[in-house]
Parts: sequence; structure tokens; C-alpha cells
Amino acid sequence: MEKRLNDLRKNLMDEGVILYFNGPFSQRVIETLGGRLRTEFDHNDPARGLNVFAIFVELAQNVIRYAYTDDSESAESGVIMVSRHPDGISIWCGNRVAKANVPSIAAQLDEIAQLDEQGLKTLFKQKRQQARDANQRGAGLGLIEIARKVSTPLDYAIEPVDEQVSFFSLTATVKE
Amino acid sequence: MLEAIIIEASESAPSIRFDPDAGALAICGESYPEDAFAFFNPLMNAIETFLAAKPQRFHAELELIYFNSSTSKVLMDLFDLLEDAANTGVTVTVDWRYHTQNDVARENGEEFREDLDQVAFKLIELKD
Repeated sequence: MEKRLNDLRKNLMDEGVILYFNGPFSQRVIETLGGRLRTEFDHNDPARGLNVFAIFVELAQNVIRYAYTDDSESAESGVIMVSRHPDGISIWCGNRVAKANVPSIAAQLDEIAQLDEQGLKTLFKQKRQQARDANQRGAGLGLIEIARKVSTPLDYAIEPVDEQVSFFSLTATVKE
Repeated sequence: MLEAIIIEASESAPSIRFDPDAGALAICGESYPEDAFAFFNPLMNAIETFLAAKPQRFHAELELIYFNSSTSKVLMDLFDLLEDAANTGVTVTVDWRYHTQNDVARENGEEFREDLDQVAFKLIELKD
């Protein structure tokens, strides 16, 4: 096991992974891991560090709000990873979602994918102005916020797991 | 009689100081609480009550290093309240303070300013 752990660590480091977490997400987890991310960038590139941190927070808080939960896994679980590579910094995030929510997620991402910088700004302002749905725990702005900070289009996948659940994963890349 | 609100900053939530006698508000720090609406709700209610009494003036100092999208929505709601009040004759001033290196904070301030007309919204650069 020790050898496998060392191999895993080496693989992650070779891939430029600077943060990897798989498990139950909570506000405390976000504060701690997010703080770690920030110190990683504080010295050489505070502005980009703040963008990476912002994307991390939005994705992680989406996991807390929208992840599918049942008895098989502890509450609001997901996986998040941050890696550094020649093209920039990538933040990867995945969690289970209820199949019933898949069309809405896909529709939001499709809408976002069509828009340029100005279009995203307009959509963001428009949604921000709307009355909040009382059932919503968030403002529904997170994905747009992320899209405004990335240098390449959001990469995402939604894979069926069983009749009720799919796995949603998204990658956001911020340029070097 | 409105009471003052004083909340100390924590890791993911800003400090809040609302002084109803002076008509002054200050929000300072990081803002990404788990539930931004719940966190800011008491303050929003207090400000709404304060403005309903048609005061002469209201001044807010905002210095947010980072805030999440839910907080952005709350701020929008706050600025809507302030714009409405300014339209009825309250003198409303807002100082949006940001550090020179914090492009994101500056841009966010500029974006809020775009949609405010009667509120005197000023961007203040803090040089280190």
C-alpha cells in the first residue's frame, strides 16, 4: 500500500496536480482547501490566484448545494482537483446529480457556451437582477461567473450512473 | 428604534458595521458564506427599515477582497434598495474600496457603478 501511495503521489505530481480532494464537501473544507490554494499563488500572481480561488469556491459550493445524496455516500460528496500545466491552471470538479436535474444543468451550460464576453456579462447582470426563487440556495450565477473567468470554453460531461443518478463533471482552465 | 449591527469578520464572511444613528454602513473582508442570503438578511432588513423612515443621508463603505456570486446578488439587492432611496431624495454615497493589485475587485466595482444613477458610487484605490 505504501508503494501504491507513493506511485499515486508521483503520478499526481507528474500531472501537475497541486490539490486533490475526494469526499464530503463542507464550508470548512472549502475554507481550508481554498486557503491552501490562495497561498500557492499569493506571491507570484495574486490576481490569477484570486480567479482560481473564485472558480474553486463556486464549484465547491455548487457541490454542497446540488450534489445528489443518499445512504450510499455521505452528504454532498464530490471530487475536486487543481492542476498546473503549460496552458495554465485547471480546476476539475465532479459530483453526482439527480437525473431529473440533468436537462437544466445541460441547458445552462449550452446557453453559456454560445456567449462571448459581452454576452456573459449581460446574462450575468440579467440573472442577478431577477427575483430569487425561494427554494434556491444559491443565486444561480455560479456557472456564469466561472465562464467569465476562464480562457477556454468550459469542458463538461454528464454520465448516467443508474436510473436516478448521473455524474456531472466540469473543467475550467485559467490561462498562464 | 433600530439597533446597531456589529459582526466580526470570519474566514469566509466579512465584518459588518451598521450605525443607524449615523446612517453609516461598512462591510469589509471576504464574503463567501455558505448561505449569503441568510447571512445578510438581518442587515438587509435593518437597512430597509432605516431607509423607510426617509433619512437625510446614507453612506456605505465596501471593501471586499473576494466575494462569491451569491454575495454579488445580495449586493445587487442592496444597491437596488439604495437606488430607490436615492430616487426619493435620500443622499446616498457609496465608497467601493479596492487594493491596486486587485483587478477583480476594481472590475466588480465598475460593473456595479454602471447600473447606478442616483447613488454617488465612488471607486477608491488603496495603494499599498
